[in-house]
Amino acid sequence: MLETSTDYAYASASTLVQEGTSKGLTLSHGAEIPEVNNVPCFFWGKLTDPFLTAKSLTTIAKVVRSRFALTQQELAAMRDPIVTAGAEKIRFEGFSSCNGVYARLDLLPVALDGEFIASGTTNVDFNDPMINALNAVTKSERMVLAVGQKDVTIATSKTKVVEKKVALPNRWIKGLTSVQLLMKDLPEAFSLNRTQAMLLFQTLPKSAVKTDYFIFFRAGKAQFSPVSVGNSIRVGGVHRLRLLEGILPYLDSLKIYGSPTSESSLFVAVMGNMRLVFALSADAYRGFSGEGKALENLTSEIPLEWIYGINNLLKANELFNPTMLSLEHDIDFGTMDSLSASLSSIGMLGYDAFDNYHFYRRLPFKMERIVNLNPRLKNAKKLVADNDIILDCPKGNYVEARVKGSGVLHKVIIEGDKARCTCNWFTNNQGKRGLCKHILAVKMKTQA
Amino acid sequence: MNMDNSNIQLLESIILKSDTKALFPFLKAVDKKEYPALRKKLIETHRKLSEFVQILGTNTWKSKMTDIQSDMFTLSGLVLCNSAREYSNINNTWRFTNNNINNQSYKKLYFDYLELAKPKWLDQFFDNFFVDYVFIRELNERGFLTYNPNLFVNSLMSNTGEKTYPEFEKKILADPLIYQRDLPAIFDHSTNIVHYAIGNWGAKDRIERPWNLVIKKLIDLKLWDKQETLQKCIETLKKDWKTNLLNWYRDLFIELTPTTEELLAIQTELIYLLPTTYVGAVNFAIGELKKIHTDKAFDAATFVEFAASVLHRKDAKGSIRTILAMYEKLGAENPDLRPSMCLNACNALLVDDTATQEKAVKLIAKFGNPEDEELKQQITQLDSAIKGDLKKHLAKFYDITSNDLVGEFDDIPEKYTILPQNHLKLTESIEPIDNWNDFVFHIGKVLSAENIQVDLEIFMQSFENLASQFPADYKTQLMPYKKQLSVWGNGTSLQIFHHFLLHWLGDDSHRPFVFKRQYGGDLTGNFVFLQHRFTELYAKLLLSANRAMAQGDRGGNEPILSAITHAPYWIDPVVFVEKLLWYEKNNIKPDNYDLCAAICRIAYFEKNKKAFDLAQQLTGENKDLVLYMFGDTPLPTFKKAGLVSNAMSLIGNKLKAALNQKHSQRIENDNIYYILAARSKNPERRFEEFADTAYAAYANVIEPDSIEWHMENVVSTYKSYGSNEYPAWYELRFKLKPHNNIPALLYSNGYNSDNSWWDILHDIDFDILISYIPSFTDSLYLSTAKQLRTNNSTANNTLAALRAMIHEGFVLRPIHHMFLSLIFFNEKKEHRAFAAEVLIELINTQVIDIQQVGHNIAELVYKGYGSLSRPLDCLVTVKDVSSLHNVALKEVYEIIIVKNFEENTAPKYAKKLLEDYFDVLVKTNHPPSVSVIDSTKLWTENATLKKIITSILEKGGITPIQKDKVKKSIATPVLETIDVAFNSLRKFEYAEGSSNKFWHIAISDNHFKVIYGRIGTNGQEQIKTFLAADICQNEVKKLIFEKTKKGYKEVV
Repeated sequence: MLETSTDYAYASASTLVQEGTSKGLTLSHGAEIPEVNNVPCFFWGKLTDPFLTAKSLTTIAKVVRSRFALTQQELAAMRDPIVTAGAEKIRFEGFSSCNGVYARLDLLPVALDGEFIASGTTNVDFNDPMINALNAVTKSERMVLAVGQKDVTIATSKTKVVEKKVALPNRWIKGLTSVQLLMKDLPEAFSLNRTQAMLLFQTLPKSAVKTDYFIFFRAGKAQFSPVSVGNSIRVGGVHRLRLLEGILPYLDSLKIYGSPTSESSLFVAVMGNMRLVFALSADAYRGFSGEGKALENLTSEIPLEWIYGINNLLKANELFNPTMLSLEHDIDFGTMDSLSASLSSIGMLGYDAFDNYHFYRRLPFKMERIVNLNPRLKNAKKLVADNDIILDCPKGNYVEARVKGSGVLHKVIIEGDKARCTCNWFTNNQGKRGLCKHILAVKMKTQA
Repeated sequence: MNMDNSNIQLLESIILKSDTKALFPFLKAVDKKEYPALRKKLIETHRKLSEFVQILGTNTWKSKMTDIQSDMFTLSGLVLCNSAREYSNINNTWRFTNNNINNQSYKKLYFDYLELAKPKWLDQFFDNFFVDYVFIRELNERGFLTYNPNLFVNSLMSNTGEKTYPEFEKKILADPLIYQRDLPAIFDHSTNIVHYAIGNWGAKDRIERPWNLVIKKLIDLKLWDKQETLQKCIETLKKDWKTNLLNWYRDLFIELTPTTEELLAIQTELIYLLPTTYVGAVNFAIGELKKIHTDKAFDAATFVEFAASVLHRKDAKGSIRTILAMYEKLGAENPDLRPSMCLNACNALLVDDTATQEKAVKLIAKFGNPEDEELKQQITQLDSAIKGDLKKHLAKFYDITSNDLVGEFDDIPEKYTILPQNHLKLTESIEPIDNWNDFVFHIGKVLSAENIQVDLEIFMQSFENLASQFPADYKTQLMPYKKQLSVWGNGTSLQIFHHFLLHWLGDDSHRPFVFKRQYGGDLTGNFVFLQHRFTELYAKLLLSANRAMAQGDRGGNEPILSAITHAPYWIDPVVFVEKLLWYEKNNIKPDNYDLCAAICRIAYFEKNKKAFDLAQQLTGENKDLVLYMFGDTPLPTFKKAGLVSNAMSLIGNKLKAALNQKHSQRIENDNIYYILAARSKNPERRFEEFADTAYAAYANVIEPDSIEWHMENVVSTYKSYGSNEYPAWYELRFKLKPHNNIPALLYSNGYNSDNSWWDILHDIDFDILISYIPSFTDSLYLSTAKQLRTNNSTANNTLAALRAMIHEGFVLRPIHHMFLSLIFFNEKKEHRAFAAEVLIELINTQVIDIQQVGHNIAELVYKGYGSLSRPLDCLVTVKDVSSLHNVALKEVYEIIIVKNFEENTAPKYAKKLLEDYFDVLVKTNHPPSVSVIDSTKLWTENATLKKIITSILEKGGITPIQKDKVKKSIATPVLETIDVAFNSLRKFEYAEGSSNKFWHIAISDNHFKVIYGRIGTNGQEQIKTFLAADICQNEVKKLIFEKTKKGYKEVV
C-alpha cells in the first residue's frame, strides 16, 4: 500500500538563542487544524531545570530522527514531535521513523514556571541548529520556553522566517492511536536507581540484535540477557535502547514495564521534575502502527459530534475520568474501560503509565483522517456491508461464523475475550498483533 | 476527446522509426491541448519497447528499445510529461548520465527541448538525482532549475572530469561559485566526498581525497576562514551520517593542524561534542582537548561537566583514562571542581576494565571528600562493580570498616562440586485436543511454527482421537490453510507436515500418506531427515493419524507408543506399559519404529517401580525388555552376529537400499531395543554384552564415544588471489566412528562424515530431532559441533542446541562441554552471550564439569582455534552471580592460566586473564592454587604482568623476590631463550603517500623474527615462537600474504 502523508507548514523555525541573561527556546508550531494553527502561543515561562529539559528534548530529537527498519529514501522526510500543553503540564511526543520507538517527555507542573496561554496539541519544529544549541545547554544556565510565539511581531522580526513543509506519514498518526493501548497493558516490573540503570545499560548489546533480550535481576544487578530467567521482561530489538544512553547519568530512577511474554516494553526515566517515557515495539522491524491493537475498540463507532463535544469539556493533559463524563452527559458507552479504550484508539487519550491514568489530548490532525486510517477496519466494514458473514450459532458469549475470504470461507469463533480465525493473518500472529478483519467484521455484525 | 488520432499515430511512428529529425518539429507544431493524449501514447510506447526479448540466434536477452529510441523518450518526455515521477519512468537514467551529458550536440538538443517545454517539475526531478555538475550549473544559469544546495554539492562530488590534481585545483580556484556557494554545503549535506579521487584505481598518480588539498589551499589563500572551517568540522561530527564520512571531517580538522590559540577559540564546540553518540567523534574531541587542557584559558568547569557523558562508555576506555588524567591535572588547580569530578569519576567504575577503574579510584581517593554523602552513596552502590582489591583505596568512603569489604557473599564454598543429577520430574502433561473446532485452530498454531515440536505432538495425538468426529465438510473448512501450505515452511519437519496436510486435504485422502513413495524421489539425499533416517520414522508417526485416515471407523484404536505424555518430550513409563498391555490384549503387534522411539523417549526412573510392577502383567515377547527397562534385571546374552549383519556396513549402497525394506524386520532380530534401552537408561555405562552384535563397531553402542579432536591445517584452494602465497589456516576436526544406517539406531547418527552439509539443521528440526533422543544427545551435538570448524563458522541450530542444554533432565556429556566451549570463541556475539547464560545456569544446578570447560578453552587456545579474548568476555558474565559461580570461575581461570603460561612465548591476554582471576580471588577470599603460583612466578619481571602477578602471589602469601636492579634491564624471558640464527630473510617495503615503511621477516625452525619501521631507521624487532616449524611457516606465509595484500612489495 502506498504511504500517504499529511502536510503542514511552520511559519518560522524554532530557535534557541541568548536573550539577555537567559536563553530563550521558542518552538514554532503548526497543525492542519486551523483552530490549533491559529493559536499564537500555548505556553510561555521559565524552565526550572533547563539542563535536564534540554537533555530530554535532545533525546526526543534523537528518537524522531532515528530509524531501525527503513531505507534511506524513507528517511528523507524529517519528523517533528507533537506537543501537548495544558493542565499545568507540557508533554512532547514522537516516534522513530520506523515507528517502533515511542518517546514522550512529560514536564510536570514543578518543572515549569509560567503561563499556560492556551491548551491544546500541535506539531513543533525541531531543527538541527536548535538541537545543537540544546546540546550545549549547561547546568548553570537559565532558560525560557515558549510553545508558539507570544509576541508574533517581535519574534518574526528577529528570526528569519523560513517556511518548512513537513510530511507526516500516516503510520505516525496510527502509532499515536495504538501506543497507549499497548502501554496500558504492561505491568510495572522493576524500578532501578541510577547506578543500577547504568549497570544495566553496560550489558546492552552494542550492535543490532535479532534475537529477543530479557531484563532480569541477578545477584542484585539488573541485566540484559538473551535467555529469560525467572521474573524477566522481554525486550525486542533491544539495541534501540541505546537512544536512552545520553540521559543515563542524570536519572533519578528508571521504571521498567513488561513481562516475559509481553510484546512491547516500556521504560520511564524519572529525572527531577520530568519524566521521559520510552516504549519499544515487539521488534525492530515492527512499528506500533501495525499492531492493530486499536481496531478492537473501533468496531463500535463514537459519533463524531460527540468527539468534537468532548474537546470543549476537557483541557489538554487533563485527567480523564470516564465515570464523571458519562454521568454528566448521560452517555452510555458500555463499560467505562471500553470508553477510554475507544477514545485512546482514536488518539483522544494518552496514557501515563507512571501515575496510571489517561490524559486528554486531541491530536493535531483532522478526525476523519484518523478514523479512516485503518485498512483492516475499512475492509472489515466492507465485509459487513457486503453481507459476507454467515453467523452459525450465536449463543450468549459464543459466536461461530463463516466469513468470505478469497475463494474460501474462513471460520471465526469468538468466545468471550478469545477470538480465533483460520486466515493467514491470524495463523501467523496468533492474535498478538490485533484482530484480523474477519474477526472484526463478526464483532461488528454481532454488536449491531 | 474529439481530437483526431493522426498525431498520436504520428508520434508512435516517429519513435518506432527512430526518426530523430522529425521529433522536435512535430512536438513544436502540435497543439498543447493534445499533450495529454500524446503523453499517454508515449508512455504506452515506452512500455512496449521496454520488453525484453531474446536476440535471434543468441542467448542474449535485450530490451526492444534502441539507444536512439531511448534518447527520444528522454527528450520528448521533457515536453510531454506532467510530473517528475512520470518522467523518471520513461527516462533512461543510465544513458542520460553516462553517455550524453558531456556530448555537446546532445546537450544543445536537450536545451532546445527544455526551451520548448519549460517543465515546472525539473526541480523535483533533480532533487535526488545527482548528475554532471557543469550541466546542473548550466540548467541553473539558464533558468530551468532553481539552486538547491544538496543537489549542487552532490553533483560536485560525483564529477570526475579532471585527470590531474593541478587541473582540478585550478578549476576550483577559478570558480568562486564553487568555493563560496557549493563547496561549503559539504557541512550540511551528506556527500560522496570520502570516495572522491583523481586518477584511475590503482594508478600510480592517483590522488585520494583531493578536496582536502583544495580546502587547505583555500585556507592558505584566505578564501576560506580557517577558524570557521574548523568549527564546521566539529558541528558536522554531531550528525547522524555514516562513520567513514564523519571521519573525513575529523581527518580534515587534524590535517589543518590548528594551533593552540585556534583550538582554544573553539574549545567549547569541542566540549559540546562529548555527548555525541559516535565514539570516533568523542575520542577525537578528547584528543584535541588534551592538547590544550593545561592552558590558562581552558574552560575547565564546562569540560568537567560535559565529560560526564563519556565516563561510563565502555566503548571509549582510552578516552575515559585520558579524561581522568586531565581531571587530575585540572583538579590540582581548581579545588572547587573536585566534588563534581569525583562524582563523575564514579561512572568510570561501571566500566569493566581494571586499568580504567584504577585511574578513577585513585582520582577519587585523591580528591574525594569522605564527608561528601552523595559521593559515599555512589561508591557504595557501585561496590560490586569495582574490580579486584581496588576498593581498598576507597576505604575512607565506606561507613563500614575496610575488612568487611572483602568477600561479597557470606557463604563461600571451598570448591565447586558436581552434584549427582536429579531425576527428571514430569510436570507439564500434554492433553490431546477433544473437539473439532479447537483442532481447526490448532492446525493454525502448528503452522505459525512458534512451538512446533510440542504443537506437532498434540496434533498427531489429537488427529487419531478425533478422527471419528471430523465433519463431512472438513476439507472445505480447512481450505483457508491451503494457501499457506503451498509456501515452504522453515525446516524439513514443517515441510513434511505441509505435505501431510496437503495429502489429507487432497483427493487421495482415503489412502494413507506415504511420505517416501510420494515425495521420496525429490527428498532422498536432499534433506536432513533422510540422512538421519528420521524421515521414515517421522512420516510413520505422522502417522497413526495416517492410520486413522486409512482405516476410517477403525481409526483411533491403536495407541501410539511414542506419543509424548509430558512436555517437552517425555513419556511416562506407566503410560507406556499400559499401552503395551493394550497391544497384548488385542493381540496386535506394535510398530517397530514406534517402539524404538518410545524406548528413547521414556523418562527413566520416574515412576520406575510402578511401571516395573505393572510390567509383570505382560506375557509376550516384550516382557523381558520392559523388565530390563524399569528394573535391575541384567541384559540377556546376545547371539553372535550373523554373516549378513556383519557384512552390512561393507555392502554397496544399492544393496543397502534393497535391504532397507527389511529394516523393520531387522530391528527385532538384532535386538536394537536393548541397545537403545541400555544407552537411554545409562548414558555413561559400558555394555560389554553388545560386543558380539552387528552393531559393536558403531558409535555409542558398547560405550559412549569419547570426543577426540585436532586442528587441521587447511590451505586455501582459491587460486585467484593473484599472489603466489596461499593463505592457510586451522580447522577443527573430530575423530568419528561409522554410523548406522538403521533408523532405530539414532544414537549413532551424525557420526558418519567428517563435516557434511546435511548436518546443517534448522532450529525447528533440531527441536524435533532432540525430542526423539532426549536421554542421550551426543549424535546431535556432535553434528552441530562439527560445523564449528573455525571460530567464524556458525551452526544454524546453535541457539536451539544451547536452549536444550538447560532443559530439565538434560544429560551433559563431554561433547556438550566441548560444544559450549566452542561457542565461547564464536564470532557471533549473541551466541556467545547465550552460551554464557547457559554456563551460569549449569553452574547453578551444579551439573556442569567446570574443569572440562576450562581444559577445553585452554586447549582450543593452545591449538589455535581462537584467542582468549572472547572466552574471557563470556567468563566475566559469570562473575558475581553467586559465590558458587565465583568459586567455579576460579577453577576455570586456574586451568587456563597454567596452560597459558606453559607456553614458551609470551602468553596472550595474560594481563586481562590475571586481572579477572585476581578479582575472583578477592571476591572468594581464596588463595591462588599452587600450580598458578608455580607457573606465574617466573614472570614477575615482565613489565606488563609484574604488578598483577605480585598481587596474586601476595594473595598466596608469597612475597616476590626482591627486585634485582641488574635483572630488571632484561626484558622478557622470551627473548632470552631464543638464541638461534635466523636465515632466509625476506624484505618488504611500502611507500605510498606519506608512508615509507619496511617489514623484514626471517625464519628459524619454529621461530620467526620480524623487523619493521620507517625506512632509514633501525626499526623494531619482534620474535615469535611456535609449537612446530610447520605452524611457524604457515604463520609466516599468512603474514606475507597479508602484507602484500596491503601493498607491501618484496625487495630483492
